[in-house]
Amino acid sequence: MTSESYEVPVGPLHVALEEPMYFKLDVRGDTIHDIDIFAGHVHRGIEQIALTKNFFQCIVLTERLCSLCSNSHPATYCMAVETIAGIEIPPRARYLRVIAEEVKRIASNMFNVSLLAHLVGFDTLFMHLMELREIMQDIKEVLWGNRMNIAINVIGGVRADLGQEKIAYLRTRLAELEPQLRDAFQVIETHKSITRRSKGIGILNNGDAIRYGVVGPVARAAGVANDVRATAPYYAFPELELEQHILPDGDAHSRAVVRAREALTAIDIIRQCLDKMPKGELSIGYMPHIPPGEAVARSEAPRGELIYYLRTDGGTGPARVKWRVPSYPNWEALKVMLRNADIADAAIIIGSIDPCIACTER
Amino acid sequence: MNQLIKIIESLCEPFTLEGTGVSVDISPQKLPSIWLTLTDRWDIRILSEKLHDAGCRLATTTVYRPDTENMPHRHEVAYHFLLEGLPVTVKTITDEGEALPSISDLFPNADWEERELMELSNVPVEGHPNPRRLFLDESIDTGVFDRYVPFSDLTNLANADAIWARIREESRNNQKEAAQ
Repeated sequence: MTSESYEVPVGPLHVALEEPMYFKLDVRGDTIHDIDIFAGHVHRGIEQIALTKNFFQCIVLTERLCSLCSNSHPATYCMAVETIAGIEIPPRARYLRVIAEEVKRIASNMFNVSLLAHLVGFDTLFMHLMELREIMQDIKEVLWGNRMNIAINVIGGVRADLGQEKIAYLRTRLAELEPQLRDAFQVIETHKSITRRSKGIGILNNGDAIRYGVVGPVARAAGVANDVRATAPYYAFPELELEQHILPDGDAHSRAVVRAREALTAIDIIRQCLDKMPKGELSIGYMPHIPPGEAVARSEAPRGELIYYLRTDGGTGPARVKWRVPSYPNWEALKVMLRNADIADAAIIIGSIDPCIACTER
Repeated sequence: MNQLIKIIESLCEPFTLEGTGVSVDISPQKLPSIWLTLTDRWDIRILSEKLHDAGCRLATTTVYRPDTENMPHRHEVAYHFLLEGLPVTVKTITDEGEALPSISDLFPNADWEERELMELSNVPVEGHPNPRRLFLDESIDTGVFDRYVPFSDLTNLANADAIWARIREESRNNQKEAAQ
């Protein structure tokens, strides 16, 4: 240990980050003293591209913002359009949208939790979780024909139904997944290889979580109950029981545990949907005229609150569409989590906010 | 939710543009949303303090031009706050060169929002602690979102086509040289 200060670059290309972001760490000895974040390596200008597309093309465009939460974007965008046009989607569509969201949530959360195992060097668990995750990929492929972009949303409902055969497949595969997932997540919650590298590190306490306006599992791991599914229930959520997972410690381990438990709760939500889903239309069945107006729509994506602002002028496409992804407010809070942390923990702490750069640099 | 609406209405009413007031929209999902436009753009600072004290968080901000044909230099900046599950959108109007006060000391997540606002629209933000670029390189002029040149052409990924065209050209030249 020395009292000298060093600048340690992490990224923009780094083995522990799936996407490019540059962190400049001011390190004294082994301790991170300060942090600066530099973005802009893969910005695509999609918000402006959206202004050159019509309302229907924007469904396709927004689905391509991000891979892991790809369904949350077009679904929330459609919710904003439907709000302006005063469209109430059919009851069956409300349930089918929830099923799609929760299937994507399980796959997304499993990805991040498995990465924690990888970052602490527990690669057997990492490989096991990724292998289990293939069940979710299979489910998406069988139900909707694709492993990532499932393209089920249309303005006024959904595009594809789930017949009895697909529902039976979904139930069978979830029954196969659940016990194995519980076992694997038990290891995440209790195994010393995981806990000694993630408990008590990267702490964001409750006060800072509120101050920084963080969302999703990052907020709930610090005791902030701001799940949009509970605070402003949309789609079929008012008719479903949602178990919330709120933890007090605000460390990297708590964030992984919240994601793991929310993946298991998502299985329960899907089953509730399959039990309660009414028969009926999938969508309004026509292309509606979208009048001038503005709307804010929100949903709980796997990483947290996703918010869309849409402004229309009576034309064929948006006059302005803005989205704020869950990762966006969470980046700034990394400064709190990384300050006074050990340099060796930097990758684990950065990974613990489940950062999405594709979303951030839209 | 009605209680939350009353709290926000009482806080915001004194600042609203004459004749507009505070409006409450109800979505087809029966979710309320509050909207208002400020008389004076500097009031965003005072109102933000009140909303902050009432327990609001800042969700995001949006900048747009409300009338590109008749007022091409006018921007509206919409601040989207949240009180529990209730969205509150506060709109401010700025004409060319008119600054907005920073609220990043109240809401630290406004840091990125305000930096993005400056580079997208050229609306200055006064009192920002770190007003450097967020996504765009310093060599690119501000206000990119308002130009006819697509924003995506100015960002780093836009060079991908040019790079591949150059690589293809070099590859062809190499093949020609090898053949000779």
